[in-house]
Amino acid sequence: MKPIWSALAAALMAGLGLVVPYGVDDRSLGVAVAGLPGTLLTALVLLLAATGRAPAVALLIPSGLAGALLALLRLEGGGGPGYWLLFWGFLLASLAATGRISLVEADPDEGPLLQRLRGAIPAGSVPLVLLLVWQGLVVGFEVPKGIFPGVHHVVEVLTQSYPVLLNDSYVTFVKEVLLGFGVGLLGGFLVGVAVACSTLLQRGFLPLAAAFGAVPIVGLAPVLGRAFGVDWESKAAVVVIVTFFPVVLNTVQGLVLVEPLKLELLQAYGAKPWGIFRKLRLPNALPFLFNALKLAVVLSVISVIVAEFLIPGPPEGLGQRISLSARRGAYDVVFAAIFLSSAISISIYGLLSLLERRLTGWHSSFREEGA
Amino acid sequence: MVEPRPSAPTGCEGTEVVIEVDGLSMVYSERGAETVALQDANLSVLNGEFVSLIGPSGCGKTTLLRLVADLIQPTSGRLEVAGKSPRQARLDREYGYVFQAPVLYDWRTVLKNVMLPLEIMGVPRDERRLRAARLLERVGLSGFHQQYPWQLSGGMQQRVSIARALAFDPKLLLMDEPFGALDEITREAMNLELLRIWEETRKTVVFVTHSIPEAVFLSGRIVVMTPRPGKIERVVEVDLPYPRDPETRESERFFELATEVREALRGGH
Ligand SMILES: Nc1ncnc2c1ncn2[C@@H]1O[C@H](COP(=O)(O)OP(=O)(O)OP(=O)(O)O)[C@@H](O)[C@H]1O
Ligand SMILES: [Mg+2]
Repeated sequence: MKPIWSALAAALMAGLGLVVPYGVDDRSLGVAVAGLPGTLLTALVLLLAATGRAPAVALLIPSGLAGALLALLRLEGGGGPGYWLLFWGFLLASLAATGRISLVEADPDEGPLLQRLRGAIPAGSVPLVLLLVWQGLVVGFEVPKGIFPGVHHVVEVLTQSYPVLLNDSYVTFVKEVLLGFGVGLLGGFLVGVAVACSTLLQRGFLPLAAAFGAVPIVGLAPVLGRAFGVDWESKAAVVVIVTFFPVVLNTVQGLVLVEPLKLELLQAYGAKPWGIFRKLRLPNALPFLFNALKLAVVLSVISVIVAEFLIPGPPEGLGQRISLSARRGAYDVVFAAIFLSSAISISIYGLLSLLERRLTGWHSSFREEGA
Repeated sequence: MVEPRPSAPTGCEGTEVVIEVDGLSMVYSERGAETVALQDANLSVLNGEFVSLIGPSGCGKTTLLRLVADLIQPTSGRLEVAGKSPRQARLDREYGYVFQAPVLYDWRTVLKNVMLPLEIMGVPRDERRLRAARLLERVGLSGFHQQYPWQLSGGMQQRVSIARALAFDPKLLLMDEPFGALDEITREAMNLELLRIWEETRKTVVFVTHSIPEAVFLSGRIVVMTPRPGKIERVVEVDLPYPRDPETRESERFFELATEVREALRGGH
């Protein structure tokens, strides 16, 4: 395997960072703190990487990231050319190694741990690099916290004001999203079953439901606020509506769109409608239902945040936290709230995907992996 | 009208008519165009008989089978299955149907697919499992209980569907080209296995095929059909003695009968 030229170039950048001024006014601190250990580590790993071994290339990633992180430790005063060289050099080195490692072909001899690592590295290092770029720019350009907070400001908020944020998350996700989601799912499913059973409803109700799916429901938020009060109930109502329509549509489709031959098979056994529903229609609808749920989760989170913007009530909930903090220029809190809400909704989505895989692993969309 | 076959084993075979087809016609009309899939068909299938339907593609074999199974309604004519209307026969689970395609449920394992009819019929759980396992063994799929249909080859899938049709032990088997997707070797093995099952249980079998040797080897009578419009051209009596074995295929009478069927098929044109 060839040595990694891009990584070599990146290391050269980092090395060059040692001899040019690090900060705007001094250089010694940067050399001592960031330059030396980082560069030494990188040099060592590059040596190994030149031999082309996958584990060595993998080592380049954390060392590059660590080097970039070390460069950030210098927080006073803006960055000079040395700072930028070191910083970008290390980042590029780790990115190059990431690209490299995702291209390396799987070696049948390597253990399961290493294989898993190989899968996790690209997925894990890209977000890290993004965070580092954000932080690097904020520190390097000395962006004031009131305009754009650094990562460390957000972390600070998360660690210091977590009781407030936790309560906000509880209100938004448990009271509003989870409850609304549950009601919307159950109601949507039952209505979907009723619609699937009745030709009249299919003709009359379905086009209406499809049209409703295109209505920007959050626009109704102020109306719902009037109807249900400004507390969490009105926001949960938004979630119910947002969940309801995709669930109805997909339930109906899943129940109705069965292969005719699969239906005839059961008819040949003299199966009763209930048997046909349980043995054929329901399993057939499951993949459709999960698609609806995944769509509904994303829609729900967006809608609930916007609804909290639109229906100001008691100062609770992540959406209200965002709008209140933004109004007083506390962007670190805004980012912390955004971070929390995306982390939670990603987790819900992941949980749903996991459940989907368990329950509908037979479906064609998963087959590649099952085979 | 039909004499008991002289060489057939005696005892289990009655003169009771299981399927009575009387002037049956089926016309599909789609967007103004009419297809006469079956025209004035007459046929009686006796209890315990093995009858094959043979004919070129589009001559109405599947149509006839689906009419018997009450999956479609005839345009005209009379049809009786097990002495009842086809609908009643279907609701009474008088027949097992093997479709031209395997039609397996992809969310069920092989074992669970075979258990499906038994679940519908309320057979207790343990017995379901036992019966399904036994039938999978008969079709040579013992090691595949926990696989999913898409993990099997086309021929294996079709064998699962045969096991499924046999699972609830129907007295009448309607089989639509069950071995069409199999290779020649597996096909001959399955022919033998089906013949064993039939000789043991004396089910009534209506068997659709495209293969002349297969029809001659298996059947007591062969219904030769011709297309456009689909109709029954001739019924060929197969007087080869049961039980039959691979040597039967080499006998002189076998070739004579095959030739007779071939000529009957050609006669329709
Ligand atoms: N559902 C349907 N609607 C309209 N026409 C149909 C339908 N099913 C079958 N036909 C027509 O009826 C005729 C007989 O079809 P059928 O399926 O019974 O043929 P087949 O003998 O089983 O053929 P193959 O050997 O190819 O399976 C064909 O011309 C076909 O086009
Ligand atoms: Mg056919």
